[in-house]
Amino acid sequence: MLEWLFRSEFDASATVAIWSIAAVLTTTVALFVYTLGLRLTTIVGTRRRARTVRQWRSILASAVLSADAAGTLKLPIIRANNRTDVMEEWNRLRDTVGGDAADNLILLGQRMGLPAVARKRLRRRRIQSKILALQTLGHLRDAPSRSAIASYVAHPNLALSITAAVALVDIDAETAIETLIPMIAGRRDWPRNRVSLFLRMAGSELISEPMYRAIRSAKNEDKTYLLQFVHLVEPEVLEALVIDIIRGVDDPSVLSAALKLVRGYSGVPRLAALTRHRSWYVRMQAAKVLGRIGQKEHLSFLESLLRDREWWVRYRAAQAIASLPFMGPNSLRRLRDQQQDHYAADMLQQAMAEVGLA
Amino acid sequence: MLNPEHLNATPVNRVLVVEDNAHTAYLLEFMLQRVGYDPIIAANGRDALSAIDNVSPVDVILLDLMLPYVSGYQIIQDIRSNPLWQHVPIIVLSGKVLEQDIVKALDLGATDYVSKPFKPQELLARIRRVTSDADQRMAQR
Repeated sequence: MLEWLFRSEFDASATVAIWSIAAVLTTTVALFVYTLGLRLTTIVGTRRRARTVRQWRSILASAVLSADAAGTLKLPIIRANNRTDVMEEWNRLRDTVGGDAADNLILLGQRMGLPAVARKRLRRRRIQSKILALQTLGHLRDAPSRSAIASYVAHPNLALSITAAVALVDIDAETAIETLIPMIAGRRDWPRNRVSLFLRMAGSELISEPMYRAIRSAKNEDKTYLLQFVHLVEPEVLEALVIDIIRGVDDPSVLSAALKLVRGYSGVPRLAALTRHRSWYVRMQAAKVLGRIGQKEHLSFLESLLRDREWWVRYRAAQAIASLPFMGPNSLRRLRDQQQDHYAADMLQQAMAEVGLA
Repeated sequence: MLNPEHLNATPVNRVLVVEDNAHTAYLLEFMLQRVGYDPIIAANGRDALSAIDNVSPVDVILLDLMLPYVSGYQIIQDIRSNPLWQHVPIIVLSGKVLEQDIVKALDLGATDYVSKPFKPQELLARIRRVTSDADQRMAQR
């Protein structure tokens, strides 16, 4: 059929050109068919996923609202190629609800056979499979998987380790928190919002004591890091911890972090010494604390900070004085006029202007 | 997108759900329909503001704070300064759990605040309470 191509009257270059065109055309058609196939596969896959998700969404939502539905609803068979979609859907909903609704979803998840599927996936090599498995086992509160999950907490892969940490808290917060809190300072790669999440999931009552111990025994740079999460502990433990740190630590960054946590007057120690601290940042935080505490007996400390060599300290001291509940407009004007140091008088004037008292 | 059917719907038991997460929005819609409410879904801040401009006031608003285009805080302010909508109770349903976020939403005029993950029955009870409070206020006028 193609013998005309090999006729002798064609010279070599024409033959090469004709063959090249034929090859290009064939490749183009093959690529077109391949792309069409891929597109069709994607469309079919997307439709299948959408159908599965639609079908399961109403089942999951019914289970959320009723334990009866979770225990008795007729469940469709989950095909192997739909398992990931269904598991993801179940996990999303489980993330959204708490209380009885979460218990209902766990019951439904057990009826769906999710524990066995997730345990099997945890043994797979793919990271994504492991993450979905860890999340699912945590959400199922699958106690038999606890030690398997715990082995991932120290994993160098960030996503695996933090997902495992959250899953452990989901399963047994009391035991998990004792292991996890001492790890927080060493795992600075754990996103802070995920650390806050598992601390919040465990609750202030469970985390207070281990957090107190971890912060007290930590090195100074770790103390500063851990203090970011300390607002999640019980108020009385927070107060005791802050007072402890202010009393016993001299490192400026730790002291500043602790001073930021002082909310009311509860016997904060060393206040006079802090207003004379070598670090201007500590002196500035002390000025802010004195403003928040708002006690008459501390006015003299604030007056001395008003004459500090650092602009920011003078500024915060002036703002603190202007916010004191017992300092009315006349007292403020009198205090301003009494200042021998004109920098102090100017700063107080500025703070008064900010609150409309100039 | 808003359903045009809601433009002239009777303002009885209607709930405007402002939620960008499709899964949460579906669950809320499902829940509310189950207990007899008529939910209107707005998937972002812009749709919510469009609803406020084009739909007659609803009985209660369920509002997420982190929304595309317009934040939940801005929506609270807009609702509270709109003469037609200012009395509509707003229940914030948000993943933001910090004290300052809750205080800010309540200070701006939110009626109640529910943190995610939420308990569906508790949320429904809060909706019942704010709608009955609003009904009582209307009756007293």
